[in-house]
Amino acid sequence: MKFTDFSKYKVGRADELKGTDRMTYRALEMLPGLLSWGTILGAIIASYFIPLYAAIFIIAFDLYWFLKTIYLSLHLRHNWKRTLYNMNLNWAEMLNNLKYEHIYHMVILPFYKEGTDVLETAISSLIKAKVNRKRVIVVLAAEERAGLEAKERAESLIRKYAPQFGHFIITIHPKDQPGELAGKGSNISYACEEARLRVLDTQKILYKDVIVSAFDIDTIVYPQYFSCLTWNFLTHPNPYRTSFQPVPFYNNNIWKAPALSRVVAFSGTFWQMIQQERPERLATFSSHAVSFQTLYEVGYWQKNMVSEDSRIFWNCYLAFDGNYDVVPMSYPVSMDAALAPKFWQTLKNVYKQQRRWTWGVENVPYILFGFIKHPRISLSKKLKMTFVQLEGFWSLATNPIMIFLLGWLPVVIGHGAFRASLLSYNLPIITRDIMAVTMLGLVMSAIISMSLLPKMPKGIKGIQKVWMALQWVFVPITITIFGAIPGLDAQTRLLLGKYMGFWVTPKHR
Amino acid sequence: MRPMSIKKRRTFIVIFFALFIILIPIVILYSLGYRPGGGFFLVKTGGLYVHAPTSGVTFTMSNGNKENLGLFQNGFFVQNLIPNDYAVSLSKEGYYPWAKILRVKPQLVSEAFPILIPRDLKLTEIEKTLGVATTSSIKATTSKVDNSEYKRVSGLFALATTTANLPLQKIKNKVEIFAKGDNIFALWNGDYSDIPLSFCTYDICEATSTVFEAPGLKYIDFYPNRNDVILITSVNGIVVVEMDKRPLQNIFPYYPVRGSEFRVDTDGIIYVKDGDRIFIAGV
Repeated sequence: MKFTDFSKYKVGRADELKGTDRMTYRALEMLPGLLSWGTILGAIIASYFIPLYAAIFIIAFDLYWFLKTIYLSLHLRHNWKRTLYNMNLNWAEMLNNLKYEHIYHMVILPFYKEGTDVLETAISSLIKAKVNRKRVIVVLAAEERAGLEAKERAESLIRKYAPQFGHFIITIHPKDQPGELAGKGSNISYACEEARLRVLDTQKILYKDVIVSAFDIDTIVYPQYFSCLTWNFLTHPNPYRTSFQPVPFYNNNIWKAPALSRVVAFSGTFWQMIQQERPERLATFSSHAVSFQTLYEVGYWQKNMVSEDSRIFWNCYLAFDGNYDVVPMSYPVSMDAALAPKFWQTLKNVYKQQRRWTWGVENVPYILFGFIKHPRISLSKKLKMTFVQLEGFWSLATNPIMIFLLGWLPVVIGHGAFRASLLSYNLPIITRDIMAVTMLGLVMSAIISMSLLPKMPKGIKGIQKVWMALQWVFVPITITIFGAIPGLDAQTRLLLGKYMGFWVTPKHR
Repeated sequence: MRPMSIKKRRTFIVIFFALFIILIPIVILYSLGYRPGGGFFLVKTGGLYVHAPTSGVTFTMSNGNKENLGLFQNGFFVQNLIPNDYAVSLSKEGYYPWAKILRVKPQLVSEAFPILIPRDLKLTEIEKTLGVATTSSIKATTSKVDNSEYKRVSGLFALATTTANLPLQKIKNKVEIFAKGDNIFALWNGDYSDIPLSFCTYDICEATSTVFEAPGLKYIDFYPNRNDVILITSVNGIVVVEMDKRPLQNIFPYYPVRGSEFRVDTDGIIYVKDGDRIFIAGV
């Protein structure tokens, strides 16, 4: 039996199941939160009762974090060079040696209530891209729940831009569908199926020849995106068992975003760049591409959960018995950094966006449940993936808190003989010194971020460039408040069964 | 350009793992106070921490170590010290120097909480009467009225006079000081595990201790914001005495005028009375 025929293949959460499966899935939902809270509470309790051992653990942890930071920054540096190299490479020329004329690009642009300017910027970037546009199928995926205005906006755009592309369709995802969660996953799945029926089948286009780029509405493609994607697709030995992941640059509006939002945005990009050098840990994220054939086989994106972008990878991973990969393209697409008209609203949006992203932890119970049920994936693969996923979410939610907040705890709450020990005096000094040396790595972050900035728009003062470099001093704050805390927030919600809905990040430029 | 090769990544992992394994014992042993001794041996060292009561102070140690208080420092921490007794002192221009002999023990930090007392006490007199200006249609005149603040502070001194024959006793943060004859004693009323340093000599801590003998003892109280330093009125005037039993016990003249008295109010302000005159002492 194919795993796609397994009745629980597209389970979204525990309450969709019954009996033992429900209990198992629920326990797995609780696991990431229990691990993270267990670590934090364990550190607090140990700091009080056994401060000596807690202090030794914290010093070891500081050192681990320090070395891990250097290790990851080596990956970042390599990917930075590779991304810049790929951006300067003539991909069209690379394609000359390949037969690529049969390839179609389907671009799905899901939107909700975003304005025409946002939609037009995305479509304009497709026009500017170096691609045979007759072989581009644009799917503007609107939501019925967004009302008539959204539909009208889409229709005005189709009148304006349809002649520029081979195919340009609008899909209106009906609201309140049973078993669906209102959000991107249900919208793009509906749009993809509509495109199949209205374009691929009517035009007799082979599913295997279509590469689907599932974008956000603020996604802007760089000129050679399609050439790069086509080359990666055609040169891959098994392109139908592979997703293709560009590097997300959150810099469409970077010059207008406040420093905290910029640091969070770049940190997100940097993390994805690091992961691009560790493809065995890479899952699809945000804007990504995959063969239509593959999508059709797995039934498109899941409609009943929030993190459809990463879940599609896991759907495929289970469907194809663990023989599924992500190809890191190391070529960018750009999106918006979280921004609102007011500073505090921007920070709120940053937090909510990060929480939605870290809600990707909902994949953990899905993966582990799938591993329990799947007979054909090797145990070593299952164990490795389980470790990678659990360690990833655990690190995200606990490491910054451990480093920046709990590092001093044994000194503050430890009592008795510990307070007079040399260790209690050395703990804050060693923690501080290791942090200081680690923070030197931020110089590299500043250099890389400066090299990835788009051209400074008119009306922005030159001093802003200096702030762009200095902003990195906020990292200890951003990775705690906009990294660990929303991560812990998401894990706690999953632990308590308070499931999140899809939150659309408001777009401001 | 290719992604970082698996081989290169594995090499990095091996290098960083090896570094972690090598550095962990070094950093932990260092934190615990182990330092290289002769040959391949490690010796256990200790440290000391001297709190700085104010800015601009200079710390000096018997081993020649001298240090000025930095901008973001609130004390002096010295480690890598072979267990022994070390004389330390704290000085600041215009203040009596503070000194102490601290015993450094292996893997432990000896702490000290110095107090610095100004050589020239800054005094602000509270006037007995205040001039009040009155203006009529013909001329402006000034008349004298009693100063209510003077009256209030005089009350503090008067109150104590009525209990002068009773044993003097004060309690602050579980530390009790009391006088019997000319002797002043201190008593720790909390858990033994939380006993303050001022009740300890180098090796033992005792819940009761004799703090000082002051001939003609009249009055005692805690120095503001401290429960290990006391103010005493005796025949020689007002002195500040440190309770810390480790040598040297620091005793500083505060207002060395015979017949003077002091009171500390609930806000921690020290009032000095000399004859009929009452002053606010700068702390």
